[in-house]
Amino acid sequence: MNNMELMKLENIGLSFKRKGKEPIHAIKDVSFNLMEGETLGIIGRNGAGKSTLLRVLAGTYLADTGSIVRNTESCALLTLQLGFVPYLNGVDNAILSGMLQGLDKTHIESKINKIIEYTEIEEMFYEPINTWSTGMVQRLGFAIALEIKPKILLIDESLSVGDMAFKKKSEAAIKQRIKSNQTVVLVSHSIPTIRELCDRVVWIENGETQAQGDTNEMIKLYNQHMQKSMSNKLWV
Amino acid sequence: MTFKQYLAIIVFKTKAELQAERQRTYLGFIWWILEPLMFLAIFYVVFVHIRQSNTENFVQFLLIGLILWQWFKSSISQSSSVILYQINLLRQVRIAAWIFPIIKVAANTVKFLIVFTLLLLFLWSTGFHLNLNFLYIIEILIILFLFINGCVLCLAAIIPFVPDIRVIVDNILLGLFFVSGVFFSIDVIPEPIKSYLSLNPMYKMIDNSREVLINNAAPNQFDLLYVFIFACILITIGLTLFKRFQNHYAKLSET
Repeated sequence: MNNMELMKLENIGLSFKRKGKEPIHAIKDVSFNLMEGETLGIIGRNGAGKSTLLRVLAGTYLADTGSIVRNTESCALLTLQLGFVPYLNGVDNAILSGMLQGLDKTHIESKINKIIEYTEIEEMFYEPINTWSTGMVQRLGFAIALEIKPKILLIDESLSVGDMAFKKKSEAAIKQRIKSNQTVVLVSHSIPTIRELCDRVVWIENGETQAQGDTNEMIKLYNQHMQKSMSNKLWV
Repeated sequence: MTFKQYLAIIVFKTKAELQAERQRTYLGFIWWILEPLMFLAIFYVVFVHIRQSNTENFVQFLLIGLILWQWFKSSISQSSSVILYQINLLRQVRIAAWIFPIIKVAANTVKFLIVFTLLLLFLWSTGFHLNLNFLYIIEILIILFLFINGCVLCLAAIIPFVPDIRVIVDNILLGLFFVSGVFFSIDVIPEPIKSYLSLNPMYKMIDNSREVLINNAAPNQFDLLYVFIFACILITIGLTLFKRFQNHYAKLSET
């Protein structure tokens, strides 16, 4: 693993304003850093602020408090079906979606055959995608996502899409990507996934960093905490 | 992303938008011509047969006004709340939000140009032979295009935060329609109201277009400069607002 620091978050806080109500403090105080080449897992229960945090990393949400130091601008969420237009065919949607994610038109055009081959939907590819099945659209979304290669890849849960066969294929592809030298921040509820893929884990609770460090250690702490809060609930 | 990339997105998405629109209806792109024709037919019946206006060349006068006005009006009403529909996308990728209203204006402009070409054919077939002054219409259309973009950028930047403005905008558009000299010459209005009304950029553009297309005369360059400066100021304000609020749109709740 390389030792260069790609990103450093210090005391990040972010809230959503609401009309006539108190704002929601989605993130209160989160600090961690991200090193080149590592896979950092983010765990925490529902509503802990994980997805919001990922969007702060992606730069689509601006933090209200705290500071972020970025050593690269190339940092993007893994998105599926971004900007898809139902009335357009597979090629046009691939180009549009790719362009919205920062790729050049000619670059995507050169990858079209690869995308068609990957999705295994040659016969329908030039038909509007609103005539495709849901699974086919998911495949296209995934094939495009594989072509987006940011320096830091941010993944929110979804590792696989489609029917059984494609699920296996897409999961394998994304896992291979994660295990390569790619820097990844992975949000997941699945403890086995985190254990398998992450070098380091940050545990978020109520919008604050509860603990961070070695994957197995964090998972142990997190599980203990979850069991405790569950048994508390049972006894009350 | 670079400006070149944004430009490529605008061009591609405009084409996509038009293509999608074509496929959404049974008659497809025929509607781009049919819809304005229906609209024009109503005004024709009302003002030529019912009200019997005594303006010279009234049909040509009316058509030029209505077609330019429709370009302005549909651009504004279709683009001003467009950001609200892109919030989910803005949460996922870092992309400048100003491109979305511009795309709508661009798609509208393509449809306008088709209708405008038909208008020129109609003028030609009804005996309005154009001389070199006709080239001034290009200058007018470019300035009007900038002016429309300026209006749209300013509105689209703030409407996501105050959607109520939409209601006001609709009524302002209706009011402007009556004072832009679309279907009657502003000359019939007494002073000093007339002087105030003629400050309206849409009035100036429609009036000068008629000057060029019907009278084969050169437009008033002071008028054009006035609207051009107006447009530049609006575009600057609009882009500044978008820059200021870029990171705030993603945090709004979706429509």
